[in-house]
Amino acid sequence: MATDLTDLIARVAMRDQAAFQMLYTQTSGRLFSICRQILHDHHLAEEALQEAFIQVWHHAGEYHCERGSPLTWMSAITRYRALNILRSRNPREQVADTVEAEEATAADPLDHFINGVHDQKVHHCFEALSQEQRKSVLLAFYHGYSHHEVAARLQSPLGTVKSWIRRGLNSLRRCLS
Amino acid sequence: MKNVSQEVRQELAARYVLGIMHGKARQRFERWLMESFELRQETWFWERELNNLPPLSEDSPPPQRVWKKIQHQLNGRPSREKTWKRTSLFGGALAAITIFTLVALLVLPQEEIRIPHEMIAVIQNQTAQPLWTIKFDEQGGYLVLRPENIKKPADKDYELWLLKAGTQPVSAGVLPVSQGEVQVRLSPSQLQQLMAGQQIAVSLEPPGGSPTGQVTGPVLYQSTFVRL
Repeated sequence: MATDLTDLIARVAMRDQAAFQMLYTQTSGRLFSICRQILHDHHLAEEALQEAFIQVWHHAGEYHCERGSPLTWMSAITRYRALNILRSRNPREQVADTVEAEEATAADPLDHFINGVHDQKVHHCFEALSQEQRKSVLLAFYHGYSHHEVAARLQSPLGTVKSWIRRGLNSLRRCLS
Repeated sequence: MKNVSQEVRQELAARYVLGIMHGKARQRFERWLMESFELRQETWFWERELNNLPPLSEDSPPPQRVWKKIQHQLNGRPSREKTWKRTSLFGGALAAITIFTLVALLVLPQEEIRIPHEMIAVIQNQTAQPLWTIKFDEQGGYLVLRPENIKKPADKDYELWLLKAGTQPVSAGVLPVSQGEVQVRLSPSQLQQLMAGQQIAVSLEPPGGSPTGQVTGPVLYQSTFVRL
């Protein structure tokens, strides 16, 4: 799939509309689920996805392998669009919405995250984190939580959460490189 | 940002990619990204690692209206992507203008060719640093290619392509990489492609340019002409 997507992105860079539609067909399901995880609002998630694909159309020529696989690069673009929309909302409303929505979920897939990581190195590096560090980093990554939101979700002091995230990231940086 | 240690760069990039850097700090970081290659590499590292993590939930197909809105948004920009399912009226008008231009170019003596506007395109790298400036000269129908900040790749050349949606790219030759400007006089077909598409791309090709007349290497950059 990666080779096919690379080929499609190269064609999109040359303004090939059929390739752009194929790229959309192949990736929009994955990218839309990223938007929904962060925004918890169908309408806003659609807006983020739309903005992300507009950006892909205009910047396809800037893709290169140091940005990761095509899907990784497109996921990064999509996350940034979703985060922009999230942060532009009323911060208080954000915390209430997202944290309540998460609390209503009975089983948290983040608790089983590690089982789904098939890359051995990545698996090892995330497993080496403390449970709190891992959960804080993953809440910020998958749901776009701010420090405050992670603190509210984990019912822990803000300073403690900041320290979990900082140490978690430092440890990941050393382990993954 | 010049004297920032590697540890600080790593931490800032991680916070930026994770999304826990907000507001002005985020904007400031994006400016630093333009200045520092090391910071960009560090950011790419986190983008690669984090965005490659397994999805938390199943894929979720978006409603059909999203694709329609994307098409609509790209259609709504008259200077770009002109053939995104345009109405036949617009298509006809565009074709008429193109044919008129072509006829004018073929029939009129060279010195009478007047293209009404000067256009310029800047080819930038990923962090908006200019690599070439491409000027389209209104008097003579030629391009002026000026390298800004580009080194010759080993055993390769950069080739410039004129793009128009729905057609094959047309080569405008190999781009210069050393100091000084190069002028390229355009043929009628190149002129037609440039006027109708107003978009360019750069690909990496074997020395001397593509052996086939079509793009064979990776497309590295693209840009759009702006009317002055």
